[in-house]
Order: sequence, then structure tokens, then C-alpha cells
Amino acid sequence: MSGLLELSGLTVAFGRRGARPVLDGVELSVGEGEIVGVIGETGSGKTTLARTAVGLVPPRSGRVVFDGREISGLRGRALRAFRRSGQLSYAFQDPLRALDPELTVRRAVAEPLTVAGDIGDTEIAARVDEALETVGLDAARLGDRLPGAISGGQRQRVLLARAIVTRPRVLIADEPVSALDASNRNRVLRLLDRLRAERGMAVVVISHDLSSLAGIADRVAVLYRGRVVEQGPVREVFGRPLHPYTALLIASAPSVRAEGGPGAAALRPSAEPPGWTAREGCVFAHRCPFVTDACRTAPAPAPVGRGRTAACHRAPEWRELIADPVIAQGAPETGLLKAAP
Amino acid sequence: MPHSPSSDPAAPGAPTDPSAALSVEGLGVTVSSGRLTAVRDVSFTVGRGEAVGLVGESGSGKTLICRSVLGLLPPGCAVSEGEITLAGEALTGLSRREWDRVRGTRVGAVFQDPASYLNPSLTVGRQLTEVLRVKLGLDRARADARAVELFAAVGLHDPAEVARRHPHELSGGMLQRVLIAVAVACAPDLLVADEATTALDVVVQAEVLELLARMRAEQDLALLLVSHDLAVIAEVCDRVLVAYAGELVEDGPADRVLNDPLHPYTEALLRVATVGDWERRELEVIPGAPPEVGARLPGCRFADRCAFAAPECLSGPVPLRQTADGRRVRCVRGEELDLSRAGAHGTREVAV
Repeated sequence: MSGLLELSGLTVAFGRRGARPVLDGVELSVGEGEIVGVIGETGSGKTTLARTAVGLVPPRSGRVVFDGREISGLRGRALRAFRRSGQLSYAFQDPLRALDPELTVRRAVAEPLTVAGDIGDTEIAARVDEALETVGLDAARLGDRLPGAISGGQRQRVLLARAIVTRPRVLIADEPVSALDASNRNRVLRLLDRLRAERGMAVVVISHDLSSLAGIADRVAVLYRGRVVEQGPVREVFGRPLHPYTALLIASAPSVRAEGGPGAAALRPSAEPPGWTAREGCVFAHRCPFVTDACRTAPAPAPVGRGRTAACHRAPEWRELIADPVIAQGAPETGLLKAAP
Repeated sequence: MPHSPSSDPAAPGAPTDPSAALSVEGLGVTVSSGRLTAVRDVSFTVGRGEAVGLVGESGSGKTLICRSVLGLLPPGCAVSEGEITLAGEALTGLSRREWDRVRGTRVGAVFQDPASYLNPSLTVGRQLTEVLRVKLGLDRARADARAVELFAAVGLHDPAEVARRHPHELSGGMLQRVLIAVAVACAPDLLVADEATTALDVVVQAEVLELLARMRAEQDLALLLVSHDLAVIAEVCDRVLVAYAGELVEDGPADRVLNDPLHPYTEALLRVATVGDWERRELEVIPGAPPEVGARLPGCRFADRCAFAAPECLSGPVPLRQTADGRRVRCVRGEELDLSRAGAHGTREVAV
């Protein structure tokens, strides 16, 4: 598989030698015009993954390849030149902190172009208006306001305008919708989908919240404590998860269609935790109800179908062990672990 | 849950329902030092042991409503009208001292960001024993023992060890459990949870929602759960209140409101809510934006965003009226609209 953005064997560690890596052997491929979700809980390494991919954090090992060119080895002038090209862009989490409180909306959006330094002022102004219009903001009304004087949903869209003003081929968006209510969330997700359709832009959506991927993602990678535990087409991964962590995640997600039920409870650890330390073996072993002695050796992501991997020694047999028959049967067409009405 | 006549705005001054844990009557809240009315004509009850969800977009007034119940309105905001009664005791007009007695003992609260409600320099055990000693007058040894029991009751593993930790040593989910333990320490009649699980990871959120449901069942605790996420409310609540632009627009049993909404705004919220479905699809949005806080509008406040708006919607203020089966809705068209077919149900059938 050769995508536009390829991460292979990516390992990142901070602090002292021997510390548990924040990312451990991450593989991710993003093709042109594709929307890939990266989902994981707090501390799973999602943001580090994004920062490493755009060259803000140097990996300890592994490679980041963008359009056939390795960028993880770039340093100094070459790295700056690549970043300023704006082909791979990053929309930071938390728009209130990521936007300079003293820059007006227009100047904040213009900044990625002004630092590049090779575009004239009139063209910059035109591109800024175009970017603001693309994200559905009225440049005439909001362009001269400061970030503190606009709503949360508008700030989120300013951040996206700033990320797309360079016309990137890949956009990495870190928690782009988690601070928004449902209607504004759908508005921003629709915008990402439209950018993909109109410009062939690839998007990586990073989130702790499954609803941030609803309706737009093609593929999803599930991150747990620095490892990709499962990866594949959204419909298959969420419809019939093959890693116990993915299953727990889906069963825990609230839904207006939910029947309540024992879904998540059946996937929480019931027995004593394994006898080895949390540093060894499978990253999920200490929270997994299906743990066996084999799990003391960390499982590698193994192919489990077309374009799909799962890092679990017991995939898919663990599904047979669940007391709740609804989960064991799965329901690929509804994409729900909980009983559908 | 049938409503007492007192919750009907058409009968002002009627005696409040003495069996309710919380009764709110004709509540109005002003902001900007009284210049703007942000919440108007809000009446509802929460029965003993009942879980009621309050849902609405940002700016719907749901946080002002629940802060009024707690006597914790921010500066510049004030209750301008109405009565709030907690298990028979009127709360409106209490002095600060009297509020200190009520808050924590009769009504507990949990908020979105647990870390900011705990003192970073004290152990969490100390912060719970302080409540037990001040509010219940327990001595040190009994307060310590009770704190460990409470930490165990909220599902913290190794509660004695957790009690010795400082807030920065605990995860967000653990801190939220600590705050729930503090909130229920004095066996209050009512627990108010304002976006209490919004900042948590999905897996932890499910655990905390289960904990709230369990506390409610075990302690006969009434629960007012405030969230912008209808899906969260659907998991826990018996009854749903829908707030829009400072007014309640719908009130009814959760399964009825979620499956057969009466107000077009509720139907719109359902269309945009998470349904646990991952197919690629055109996502729905609610067009337009809510009116500015305090905006004076002639008729229905949702009319300019409503797909079913008719000329009569703008002719005057729309009352919250009771339907034949005891639900309440603020819509002049009400039952003549078949929202179940027009929206929520239709979308869901397609989705399945």
C-alpha cells in the first residue's frame, strides 16, 4: 500500500532511556481523498502521533513519508521549508489556546501564508477570504474580530480556515469537534467531507470520541497506550470489532437508540489482573477480560481481512466467550453492539 | 410521570407538589445585571428518586437553570421571578448563610471539570472528611472511616489508598468519582450533574453514568442531569426536559420524547444526535443559530429555524401546554405535526 502519507514503525519516547514509549511501532497509511479516524483515550498518544506526523516531534525510530519523500529525517532549513510549503497541515486542539488572542481572525488565517513569504499581499487577502468562505464564516462580519469575541464553533472553523489556507494535500485535525454541540459538530464534519470531495484533500481526524467520526470516516485506527490495536474500514471495525478494547469503546458510546443493557459491563475485566507488570506484554492485558498467559508476549498487528489488522492473540475467538449473546453475534449491518430496537 | 397541576403555567400560584424532590415554578433568570432576561417561565418538578435530563444547545439556558437550583449563579445573574422548592423548603430568597446549609446537605452537585473543584494542595480524603465533619459533625476517626466507605461506594479501587492521594495523582474519571462521593456524602435529596461526563473518555463516561444510575437506585436520590448530548441523557434518565433559548419547549417520559418528539426542536436535536451508526452519510445540521440572549421575539423563539413554522407561530408568545397524555410542549402546531414520520424515525429507519 502506498498512500500519500505513510507512517511506518513509528516509535516516539520522551524522557529517560527505558521509559515506556508514547508511540510504539505505529503503522498508518492515508491515501489521497481519504478520511482516516484515529481514536483513543487520554494518554493513548493521539496528539503525539499528529505532532510526529507533521514534524513537530522527532521519532526515535520509524519513518514518516509524505508523497514518496521521507520527512522524518528532515532537519533545519529543509524541515522549515517543508513545513512552510503547507502541503501537510495541522489543526491544533483547543482553538482558544491555539489562536493568538491578539491576532484578528483575518491575520490569524493569513499567518501560514505570510511566514511562507513567497506570496503577495493582495493574493494573501484573496486566499484568506476564500478560506473563510470555505469554512462558512462571513469574512466581512468576523474578519476583524479577535478570537475572544467569537463563539466556540466559529473559533473551531477559524482554526480550520488557517489550516486549509495553504491548500494542503493532507490535513491532520486534532479533536476538531469535541468541544462543539451536535449540530455544530455535524457542520464541521460536513465541511471536512466537502473539502475531501472538492479538493481531494486527505483528512486525519484525531479524537477520543466516536461521534467525531460518524458519517464521514472511511477507515479508523484504534490507539491504546501508544499502539494501534486495531485498524480497518470504519464499518467493519465498529460493526464487528476484533480487539476487545475496540469492543469496549463501542459498547460504552452513548446513543439515543441505546437499550441500556449489559454491553459494556460484559467487556470489563472480571477476573484478577494478570501476574505480570503493566509494562510487559499486550498493552490492553490489564483491562482485558479475555487475558491468558499468551498475552505476556505483546501481539503484533496481524492481518484479519482485507485492509484490516488487529493486535490480539485471541482474535476473533474471544467473541465466543462473551456472556452477552448480542455482542457475540455482532450486527455488522447496524454497526451497533447494543441491541437495536 | 404525571405532572402535578402546579407545573402547568396556566395555574400560577397553585401549591407546589410536596412529594417532589425539586419543584421549580415560573423561574426567570436575568443576566447583565438585570438588563437581559436569559431564562423565562421555566416550571418543572423532579420526583423523589427520579432521573430527569435537561438538554439543549449551548446558550439554551440549561446551565443558568441548574445554577439557580444550586444558588450558584455567576455575578450579574439573578433569579428575577419564580419559586424553587427543594423537598418542601423554599430556596428562593435564602441568605448566603442559609444556602451554605442547604448546599452539600440537601442538594449535591457535580460539574464538568472535577479538578477545578478540588483543592490541589489537600489529599482528596481530607476534602471529603472536611465535608463530613463540618456538615454532619462527625469526629475525625468516624469521618475517616466514612470517607473510605464512600470512596468504595463510588467504585474507587483501594479506597484507603486513594484517600491519601492529591488530585493531581488521580485520573479525570477518578476525580469525578471523588466529587460524586463528596456530593452524596450527606445523603442529599437531589444531585445536580452539569455536563459531568462531557470531558471524560467514552469508556470512563459509561462507567460514571452507570455509577450515577446506581447511586440513584441505592440512595433513592433524585437526579437532574444537564447535558448538551441527548445520547448521554437517553442512557440514564426517566424524563427529558428540552430547553431552547431560555425556555422549556418539551417535557415528557424519555422513551416517548426520544421516539416520538412533539416539538420540532426536539426532533431536530434527535436528527443531529449520535445514533451509533458508522455508515457514510450526509450529516444533518440545524439551520441558523439560536437567538441572542435576551432577544425580544414576538412569537415562538424557534420559529426562524423551524421547518414547520407557520404564520400563527409569530402571532404571540407560545405557552407550554399540557397534552392529553400528560406531556408538555411549547408549540402551537403540536399534535398536528407528525414529527415521528417527518424526522427522527425516518432518519433512523434509513440508518438501520
